[in-house]
Amino acid sequence: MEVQQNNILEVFDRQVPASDKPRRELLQKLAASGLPDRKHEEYRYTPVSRLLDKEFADFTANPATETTTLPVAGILAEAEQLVVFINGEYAPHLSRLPQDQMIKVTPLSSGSQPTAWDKPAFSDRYLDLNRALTKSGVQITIATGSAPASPLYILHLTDTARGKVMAAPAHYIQAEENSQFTLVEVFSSEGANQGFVNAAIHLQVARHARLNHIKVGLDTLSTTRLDHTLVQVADSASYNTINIGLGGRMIRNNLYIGLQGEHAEAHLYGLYLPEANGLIDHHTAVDHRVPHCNSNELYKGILAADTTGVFNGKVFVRPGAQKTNAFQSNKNILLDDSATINTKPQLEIWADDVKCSHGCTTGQIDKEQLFYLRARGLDEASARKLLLRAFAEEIIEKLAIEELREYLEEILDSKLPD
Amino acid sequence: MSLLKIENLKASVEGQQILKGIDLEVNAGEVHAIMGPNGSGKSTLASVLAGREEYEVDEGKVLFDGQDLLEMAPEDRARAGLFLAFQYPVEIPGVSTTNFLKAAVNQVRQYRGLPELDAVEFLKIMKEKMKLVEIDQSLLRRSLNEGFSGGEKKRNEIFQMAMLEPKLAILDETDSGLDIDALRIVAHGVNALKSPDNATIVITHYQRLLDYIVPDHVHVLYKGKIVKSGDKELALELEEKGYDWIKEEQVSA
Ligand SMILES: Nc1ncnc2c1ncn2[C@@H]1O[C@H](COP(=O)(O)OP(=O)(O)O)[C@@H](O)[C@H]1O
Ligand SMILES: [Mg+2]
Repeated sequence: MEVQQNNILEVFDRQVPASDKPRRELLQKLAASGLPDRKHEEYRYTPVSRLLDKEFADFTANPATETTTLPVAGILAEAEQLVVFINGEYAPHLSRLPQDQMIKVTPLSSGSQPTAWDKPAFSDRYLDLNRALTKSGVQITIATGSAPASPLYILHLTDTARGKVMAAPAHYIQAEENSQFTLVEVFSSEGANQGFVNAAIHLQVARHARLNHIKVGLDTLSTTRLDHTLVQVADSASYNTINIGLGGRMIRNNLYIGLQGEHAEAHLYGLYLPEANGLIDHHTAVDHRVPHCNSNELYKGILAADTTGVFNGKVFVRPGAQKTNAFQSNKNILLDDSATINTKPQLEIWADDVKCSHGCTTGQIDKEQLFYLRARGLDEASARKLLLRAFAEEIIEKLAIEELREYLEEILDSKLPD
Repeated sequence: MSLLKIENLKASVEGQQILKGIDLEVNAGEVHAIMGPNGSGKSTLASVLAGREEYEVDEGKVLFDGQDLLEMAPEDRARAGLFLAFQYPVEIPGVSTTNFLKAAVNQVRQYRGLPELDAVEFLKIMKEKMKLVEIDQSLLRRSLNEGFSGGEKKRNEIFQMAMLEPKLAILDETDSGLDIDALRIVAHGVNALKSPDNATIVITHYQRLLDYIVPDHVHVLYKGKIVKSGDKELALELEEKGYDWIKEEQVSA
């Protein structure tokens, strides 16, 4: 079993020089444990390591790229503040760094990752792999009390036109006390060769700060991507995230939110619409570590023919975290017998004075609703599309950036099956 | 002229026959009332006519405006001019009336060979019809029927009927759950839309609505059959005597 995994670990091995002791140590640990495969509960439905062994055993290095135009112009052309990464490397020529003093953006290069950064109570071997391989990223600090008017975009472009690509960026975001900020991450890919992105983003939301974090996944079927988002929320702070995933071959999201200070809040929304032969997996964990925190989670999936969705929602209420409010809901529409959803809520509650609820529904388009619309003269395809759009709208409408919302509504419309 | 002609219609749901041989003819310009105790098959008849797929037609024929109705998809029935005001209008979160009605009206118009309405024309017609049923625009922008009161749901149904200008409207218990003012509004809307070219079937089990929408013919549906037909006096008789005498007649017959 382990032999199969050694393939890809050898490839990783070659990317870290012998002199880089800490990274080599991480890799040695991974070599000893192996990357998780189907036998590991957390990766049961999302066999990334098998795919890597198959597709990347011959990988040597990223090809040089000459990308000069921004993808996803509909979103990014107007973005005032934009940090671009192409195949995991910072691309200054396409970036537009903030002009004002409220936002400090520092591109990180190999070895300059901040070390004095609290490690959240989350572990994952692919996150360790990111630590071992990351060469780039960005550190963003939002100054105390500031509320920049326009959002900052981070574009991750995977351009495989000239060969296979691997990328492992790691970002560090700090919203200082009383600040308010919106960060938008866009993942996009082009080119016919396979790409593997193993990205991490670490976020700290300080007291009374409010961070909105939007993720847009516009990957193609040649991209396999893991995305680790680790958030720590201090007292009276709030973290709101919306994740819209509309493509990719195998996309795995690991979201960990630690509610560290009293009266901290988290709102998590997700919409996933994998394309045929694609998979989108959300593993979320909301960790209520102290009393008086609120979390609210709603993830919705539309699964057409030959697509797979995975949702695993963990909610931890630690001993003593009384007066916790935690709500979770996962709703899926399956449009075809060949679509699959694996959904699992996982609540672990060690306090007694809490309000927690979870629910998950999986079904088809509601027949009564469909009939009603047809009885008003709408053809079946229009009626179906209208109902699916309405299902998605509950998430899309949370997007406060109008251009982004409209752009995504259009893409969504084009992706909804007739 | 015969607008609707039902002959020996038998229909089942989940393997159980509910309609057991219905004959009914409705001409343009007429109002028919179908009455009968709960569970006698009134809504089933309406559903079969509107094309609900769970209902299996076992036997019989239905001609609507010269076309074989039972062969048509539900949307084509609507486009050809059949409208059903539902007894229990479904909630559709995220879809508002204005949301779907413009597309619906235009698909209906296209079918009827009429030019599409642009946003301005649509709004103008909408305003007129809103007045007719005293419905507020804010209601039309909300998720369909979600959190609507009973009266709001029914007024919304009649509003849609006004927008779609059907040849035959079937009102399934549109009066139930309405207070007297809402009842008057709904009846006023229905009466205002009446013309020599269209017809209405009013399904109810109270005579109350028929004070406002006066029927030309009254039929009693019982256990899946029309067991009695008459004029509006029959409705008054039913109001006075209840349905027991009909049931008894059936037993002794
Ligand atoms: N979808 C359905 N599934 C099962 N039984 C049904 C369904 N619709 C109607 N029925 C049955 O058919 C009979 C007639 O119902 P219905 O047409 O609603 O009567 P009415 O409208 O006259 O009160 C009832 O016994 C009812 O239980
Ligand atoms: Mg009924």
